Amino acid sequence: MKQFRTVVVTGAGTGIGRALCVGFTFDDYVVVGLGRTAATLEETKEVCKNELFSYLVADVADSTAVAAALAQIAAELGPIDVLVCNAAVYPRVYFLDQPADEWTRAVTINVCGVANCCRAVLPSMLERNAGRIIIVGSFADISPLPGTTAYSASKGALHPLARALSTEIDRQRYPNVLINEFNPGATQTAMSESGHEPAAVYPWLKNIVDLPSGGTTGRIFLCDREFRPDEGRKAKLKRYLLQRIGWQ
Amino acid sequence: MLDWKLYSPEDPESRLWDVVVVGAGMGGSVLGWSLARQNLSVLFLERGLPVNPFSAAPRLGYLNKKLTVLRGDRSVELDPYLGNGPGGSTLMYGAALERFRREDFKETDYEGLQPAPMPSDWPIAYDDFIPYYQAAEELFRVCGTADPRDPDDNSPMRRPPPLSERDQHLFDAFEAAGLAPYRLHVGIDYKPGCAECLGILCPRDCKSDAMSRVLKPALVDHHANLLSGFEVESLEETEGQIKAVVGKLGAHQLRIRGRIIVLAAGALQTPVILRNSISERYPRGIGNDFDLVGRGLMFHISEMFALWPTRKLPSIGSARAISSRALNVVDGRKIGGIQSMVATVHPFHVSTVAKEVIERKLPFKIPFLRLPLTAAAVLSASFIRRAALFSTLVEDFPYHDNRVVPDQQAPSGFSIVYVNSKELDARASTMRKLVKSRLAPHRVLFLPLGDNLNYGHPSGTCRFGKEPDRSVLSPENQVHGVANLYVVDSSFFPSSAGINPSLTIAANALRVADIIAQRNHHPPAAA
Repeated sequence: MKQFRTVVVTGAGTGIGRALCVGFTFDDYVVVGLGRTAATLEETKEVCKNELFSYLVADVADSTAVAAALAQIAAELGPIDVLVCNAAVYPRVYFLDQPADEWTRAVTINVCGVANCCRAVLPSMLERNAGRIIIVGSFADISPLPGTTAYSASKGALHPLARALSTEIDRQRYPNVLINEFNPGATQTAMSESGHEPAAVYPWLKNIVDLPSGGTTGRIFLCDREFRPDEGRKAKLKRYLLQRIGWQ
Repeated sequence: MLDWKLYSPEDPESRLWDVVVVGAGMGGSVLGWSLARQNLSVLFLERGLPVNPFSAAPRLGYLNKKLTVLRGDRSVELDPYLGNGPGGSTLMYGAALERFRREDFKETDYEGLQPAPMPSDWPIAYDDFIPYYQAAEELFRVCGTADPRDPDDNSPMRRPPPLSERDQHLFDAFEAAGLAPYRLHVGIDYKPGCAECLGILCPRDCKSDAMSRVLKPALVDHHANLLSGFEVESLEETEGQIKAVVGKLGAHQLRIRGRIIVLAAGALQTPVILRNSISERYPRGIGNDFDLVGRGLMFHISEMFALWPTRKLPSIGSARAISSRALNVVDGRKIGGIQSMVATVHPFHVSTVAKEVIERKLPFKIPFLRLPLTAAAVLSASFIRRAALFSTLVEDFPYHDNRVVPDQQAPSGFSIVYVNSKELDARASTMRKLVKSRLAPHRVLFLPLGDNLNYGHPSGTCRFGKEPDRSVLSPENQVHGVANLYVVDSSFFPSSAGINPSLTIAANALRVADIIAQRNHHPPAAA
């Protein structure tokens, strides 16, 4: 019997968001998608399983709207167990060619949008000591391409956001509330012509949902495994051995 | 970025278009834009797919397949400097938008050359063409300064950014050498951070190309349509009219109908389409009664050279800067022009040149010669990088035997036959000698790169002229004898002039669009 029941995915109208909704519904989760365009959310509903998917139109950059939407979901469907902060925009334009308010808007959606969603679900998760927050991130901040200043800056901001937020959650008291960043790598969506199929992403993200109580928190997962660039061979071995003897 | 699907026609075969334009490069896009603005229904048929400037670097090359070129005794396969996709070669060009000069429209005196080249006079008056040059220069936002040797240079040009100290020094050197330099005419806005995108697609709407200045407005503002990924194979002709354009969209064959058909697939592809269009009236291909389609192929000779200032100077600034046409005609012979290239001289290029020179001079081979030469080049890299890179452009004359032929065996569907005549090699040699002697004491190093033909500048394969037995097109760019078929890519050039072809293609496309509009006052409602 699986641990969690209700999932919220933002940016559910297209790309990875849609693929995740499909994956979750076919694993019998109740999924609510958030997005800005009803038409695309309807299309997501058509490809999900049965009646398990529903949606609300809301702009993640609007904290009041997000709070209201997530409260409505909790009231109608029960507490939100899994939140996937996936909504993001990726304008491709050189910095000097982009109007100031557009730059700000992109960063607001990509960073503040994540914060707004976390803020709305976290109190309930802590109350129940049950929840997974998964922030969809990217390594665009490490070696950004020209024309991606807003996107790269905002994705860079998500690493410390996830980490810092996880440090505020006492692991002794709330071992089953885990906050991690998930980086799907290049995926064939509106954002990128190359990479893997969106459908490939769901199983990897599911690994994070399935982390046990007391499991990994405040870390980055890249595709199917945890991302640990600074780990030397000795540390890798130590971690492996500890894992084998059940010591997290 | 443009949502291309919005401008793709749902059912292109069902409609009788006013104008069907084959090829959305410089000529096709300018003409299509002009006619769309005059409320004719325009459909562009473009073989390549739209290029996203933020994706991987746009692919250089023709259909991603190699060109087959027969250079006399040997056959070469190469990737030419030609573009593919909406915007054509202008996606990659350096935006040099220079006019042909008055003397370039005149017949060249071939001084009893044997074999004689084809006639090279332009059947239109230069004075009638100047207003179209001006219109094209405004459309493509040309900046630069007037050529002091060209009394006709009345280009409405924007002011270019200031030269770097090194380039000002070289500009003065050109001046002192009697080379009458001026600021190269380029279609670049020089936005802050501009990189003078030569060879790549500009991602900032800063370099003026056919996509940004005419094709996009034609689609977005003037209701034109574009079908991309569609390769035109042939035209259907009956009773002196083209009835349809036939080609492949993926696996499907489509038959597109238009009242007027305009070929602008480039000087290499347009003649192949004509040759492959067989009908009862044209058993050898449309327009090919006199076996002229595909013949008279010209490229330019372009040779790069490094030019050193006499002392080290800062070279930060616009690089595509200096042009000279003082050597256009020397002692009655046509020689050519000189212009700045972007990019700095690379140490490896110098070591390759040194290796070739040494191997040519010595009767024996030195093993591992590349190693010490590369080391020497790397060690002197800072010295090498002080130099500025230039290119010469030498006009090649049109010869009957230099041509494009359909060739089912070749990967691109055609072969090119081009043999340098002796007189061409002699004039290229004269150019090199003149450059070295005039610019002394500045150090000049020519950097040969295998073939010195400029495969990015093909022209002449469907030349225009007054007499049907000596040309493929009329002075109105209409295929002789076919009332509704025109050609507006560089195929129409009777001479290559050793000048970048883009501006002349654009200006002429505006002229031909006006002619077509005049001849078709009342377009009927779309069928």
